[in-house]
Amino acid sequence: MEYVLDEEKVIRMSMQRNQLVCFALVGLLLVGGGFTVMTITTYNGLVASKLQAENKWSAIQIQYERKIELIPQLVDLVENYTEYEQETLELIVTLRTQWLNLNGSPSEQANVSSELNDALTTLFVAISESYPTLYASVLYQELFDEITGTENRITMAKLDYNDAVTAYNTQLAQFPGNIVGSMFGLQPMTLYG
Amino acid sequence: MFRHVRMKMLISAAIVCAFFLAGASSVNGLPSYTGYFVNDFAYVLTYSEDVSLEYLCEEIEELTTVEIFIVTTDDLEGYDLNEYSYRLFNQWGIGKEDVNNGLLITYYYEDINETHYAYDFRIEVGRGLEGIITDSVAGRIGRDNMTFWFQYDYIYEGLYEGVVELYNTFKDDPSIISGGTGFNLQIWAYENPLLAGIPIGVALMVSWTWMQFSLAYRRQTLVPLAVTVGLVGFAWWLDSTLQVMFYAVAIALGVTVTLRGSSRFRSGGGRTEGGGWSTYLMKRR
Repeated sequence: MEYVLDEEKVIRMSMQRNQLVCFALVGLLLVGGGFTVMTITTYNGLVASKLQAENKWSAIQIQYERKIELIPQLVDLVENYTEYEQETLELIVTLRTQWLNLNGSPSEQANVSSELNDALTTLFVAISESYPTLYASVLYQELFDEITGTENRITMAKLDYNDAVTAYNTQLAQFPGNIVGSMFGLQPMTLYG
Repeated sequence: MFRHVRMKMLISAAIVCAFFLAGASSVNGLPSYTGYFVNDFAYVLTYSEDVSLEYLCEEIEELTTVEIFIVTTDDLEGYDLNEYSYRLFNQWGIGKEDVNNGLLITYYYEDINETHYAYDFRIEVGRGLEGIITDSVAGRIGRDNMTFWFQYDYIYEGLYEGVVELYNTFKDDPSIISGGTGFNLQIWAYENPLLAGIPIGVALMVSWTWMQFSLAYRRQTLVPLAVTVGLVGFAWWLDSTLQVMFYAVAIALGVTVTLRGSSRFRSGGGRTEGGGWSTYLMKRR
């Protein structure tokens, strides 16, 4: 018997092995690359929507500032007309000072603003009921329009903020977002109550 | 037979699609953009009042590029009036993008009983106009020029005077004028519906003739049918007020009848003496 080494067959077999290794490498590269790309895009999307929500938050603050700036004008105007509403006016001034001294915690801000709203409503109702001359004056009506208009802007800014936060939180809770979010330590944001 | 069934199915599918497109309402329940400045969803205006306000708003848009929209509604879709106006304004994108010069007047009509109704309205101001039409200015116009009429049931007069007064407030300010956004095919088609309709009409006629030939010679009719649907859809997209489509269809019909149909309807004056043949006469004998 004579054994002959089939060189072609050996070469073919080693080629097949090389091919397999190549395929595996390319597959790994593709999967790894895909994962990297997915991570990058998801992370960028998450950060973008988070910044968007923060922008909406600052929009709320801007409108609040506008409202706070209108209060001294209101107090100046109303002081001269009303004799019996001094308590409400003082309360409004105090709340305004409290607002200016806040250090930006949302819950405290919500408390002060709702107290302020209550006081303003009391004042507006009192004026419309007991001070017809003031109620009919152009200056008062303009100021009233400005304050209620600002109040509307605040409400709409809150809606926008909540929409943006919901979009971000949804993205963070859904599939690629939850992995990427936990990788980079992104936290869900809280809605404005 | 099979081909006829498929044709029928295709045509009915196209019709169903068209109905869905026409009645499309967005996810949050707000009415979708109509392409008109005046949208009388509550039917509180007569036709001529509607048209008059539409002309006024178009005129103002041409003079100053400011878009004033009027919406009347009896259904706020569960929002309060302020939120309804806010969402509708932003969803429709009222005002030009570069200067945000949009205005929206929302009039909410509510039936109480056979003799009484309640109303409420809001002037929503675009960002770019806030400096000119401040909340207090809008309040003054709303009180003095609009409520003045509304409280005595003069809805059209109130809306008209309100729009005119708003226009008088912002007309002299140069900051509200939009720089334009370059050439836009849809705007061009809206302004020149006849010019836009001519090529579409000719193409429609060609595709109809093509379809007729395909039917006559038992060829595939799917392609000319798709071309026809595509042309109609294109005309619709080009101008959602359907003026372009109207001109296109009118031109296609007119050209078809003039070029191909006339010989069929031409009547002569020939007579017969009763000569000929029929099976009926033979059976009687």
